[in-house]
Amino acid sequence: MTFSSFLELSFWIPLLAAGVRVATPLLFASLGEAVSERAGVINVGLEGMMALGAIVGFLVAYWTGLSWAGLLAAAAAGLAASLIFGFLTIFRGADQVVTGIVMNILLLGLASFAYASIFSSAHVVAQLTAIPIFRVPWLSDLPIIGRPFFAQSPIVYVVYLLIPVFWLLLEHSQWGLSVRAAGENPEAVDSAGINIWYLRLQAVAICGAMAGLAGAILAVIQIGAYVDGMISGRGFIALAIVVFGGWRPWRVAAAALLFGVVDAFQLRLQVSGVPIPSPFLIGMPYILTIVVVAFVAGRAGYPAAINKAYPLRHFSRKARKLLPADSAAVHPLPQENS
Amino acid sequence: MEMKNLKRLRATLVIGTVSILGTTAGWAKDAKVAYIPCGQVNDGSWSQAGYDGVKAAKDALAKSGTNITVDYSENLSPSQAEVAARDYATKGYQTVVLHCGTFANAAYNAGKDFPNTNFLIVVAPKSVGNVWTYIPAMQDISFVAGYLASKMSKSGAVGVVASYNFSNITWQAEGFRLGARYGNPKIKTYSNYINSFDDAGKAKEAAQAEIDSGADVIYSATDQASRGIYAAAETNGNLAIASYSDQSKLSPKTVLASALANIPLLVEEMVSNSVSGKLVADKVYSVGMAGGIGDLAMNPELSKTIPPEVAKDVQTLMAAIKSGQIKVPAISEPGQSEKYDLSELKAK
Repeated sequence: MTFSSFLELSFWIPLLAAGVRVATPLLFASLGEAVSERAGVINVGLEGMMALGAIVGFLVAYWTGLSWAGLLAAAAAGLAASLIFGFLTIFRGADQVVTGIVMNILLLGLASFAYASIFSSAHVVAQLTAIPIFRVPWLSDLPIIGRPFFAQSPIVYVVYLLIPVFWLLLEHSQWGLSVRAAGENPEAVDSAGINIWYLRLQAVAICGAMAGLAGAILAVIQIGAYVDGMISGRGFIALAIVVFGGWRPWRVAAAALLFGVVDAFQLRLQVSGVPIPSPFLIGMPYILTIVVVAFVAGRAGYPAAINKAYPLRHFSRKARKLLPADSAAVHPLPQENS
Repeated sequence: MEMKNLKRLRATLVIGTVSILGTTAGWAKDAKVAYIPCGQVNDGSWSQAGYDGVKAAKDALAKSGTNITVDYSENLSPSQAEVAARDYATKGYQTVVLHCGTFANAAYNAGKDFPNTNFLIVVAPKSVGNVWTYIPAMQDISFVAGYLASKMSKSGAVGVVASYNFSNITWQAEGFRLGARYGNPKIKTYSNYINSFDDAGKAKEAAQAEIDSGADVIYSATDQASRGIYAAAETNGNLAIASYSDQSKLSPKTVLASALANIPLLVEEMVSNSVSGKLVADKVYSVGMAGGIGDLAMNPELSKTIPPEVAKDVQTLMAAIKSGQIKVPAISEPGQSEKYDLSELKAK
């Protein structure tokens, strides 16, 4: 490969296709995280939840022989982990960042422990059969964009559908309006009689399920095997992509694709033998992310109520009626006019 | 308060040193060896290979009348490894094996403070004083793998996906590229570094980038990330060559051969020589095929696809490297193998 080949379509089409593949798991994690952060809960535990999704998804797909069962189980596992995270941060008011870090340590350790104890004998070759790509009729024949975007693994088409779904849900639905308000001005949501805890928990649950799926896509769809440490920081990259995309689904999708394309591009630069040291090339997508996050986040800013617990004593009378009776008994309402 | 702690620490160190002096008299007959790998001694991979070597040394030494006891510490960070190494030295261990590339500073630092203990560190820049480094010089066998790859390539291009651009990993990657050129001077060779031992996703995309550029045989110079390389080769119907251990079972239709490192043998010899006091001062033990490090394990399912004359040439080449007729250089800069003069390979 020479420098002149950078100008040819035969270079750009496989590059774009690779960018879409790299972006897919990142986008699953980022879309979920965007919802959670919009609701005022930053889930730093993405990396761990992805690792959990990878191991659970792999095990279930391996045992049942069904990839989709693996994906569903991974979503369920991610959701379960996020409920623990949500209980601690939303209901008990624990610091979101600290809790997220603890979740990472716990889940990454759990994933590798589970794999090591189930496949302790090195003679077992645990792997899945590869899932063939699916060419979308007509669309995959389009010039230039046909092959990169429409001759992919079926899961890629799922993410194409999820982008508008998340956009409608977050930016054009009643639920989305409440979620966004929960992240900016929780008092307003509360005084409208909506239970802020359950609302945030729903957002966190979506985030956890999407993170579990993201991990399973890597293990079940893209590699067909579980490898310890295979998430390799993708959870943290997804966190940056959310900021980069300004918490909006379409922009998050564009940010994930850009990261994927730059990563695929640096691998091709290495192949071309350009006289740039490989550590710099390897760092390119990360440098880009840092630069763009520093540049974009400076203007956009996080949701105002992020990492701010909403304590029970702030609950309005209207919202408190929605809580189970016992929690109201544990935290008696302050007497007004006293 | 801090001063008091410091004094207490120094007192402990002094007592530790004294206790070593107390035990050194008897170490020739009854030595203690500590093994500190990156991971777990039953990981079925790198850490286990080193542990097997230590155990083999124990058996070999027992036959010659020296009994050693072996202890290990698993899954440590580099700073924890240094603490463990110092702890073992304090307790009078004669040899401490640090079987992890990131533990070099731990070995050099501990080595300075515990002159009566031998520290063996895998893949480090130098041997100094009581610290010796041992390096599997994989470029010998990866050169053979490159030669085989060039003969099996139909497209006229082969590639290598490596973990880190570092020391013997780069030697290995460049050895493969040089071997491919030796087999076919017109071949195109590519390399990619992914900065990870276990990022299978990135390894897959790196292999795909090389396949997109025409490569049809990919050599894996990574650890667990190799699963991604095989996934890419399977998707595209290409061949792969594994490294370190026989991985043909992981992908029977793509892994043509595996370049073995014989890590247990290397560790066994290092430990045996250390315990019996035979290590040469300041010598870097970089051991290639002449020293028994490097072999090729063929995949029984694919070996029949190798033309008999190619299989024969591979055997001849291996014999030539073992006997020193062909000297494979340690090239530590990616891409330099492309400029290497092939006539320099033959020993004068």
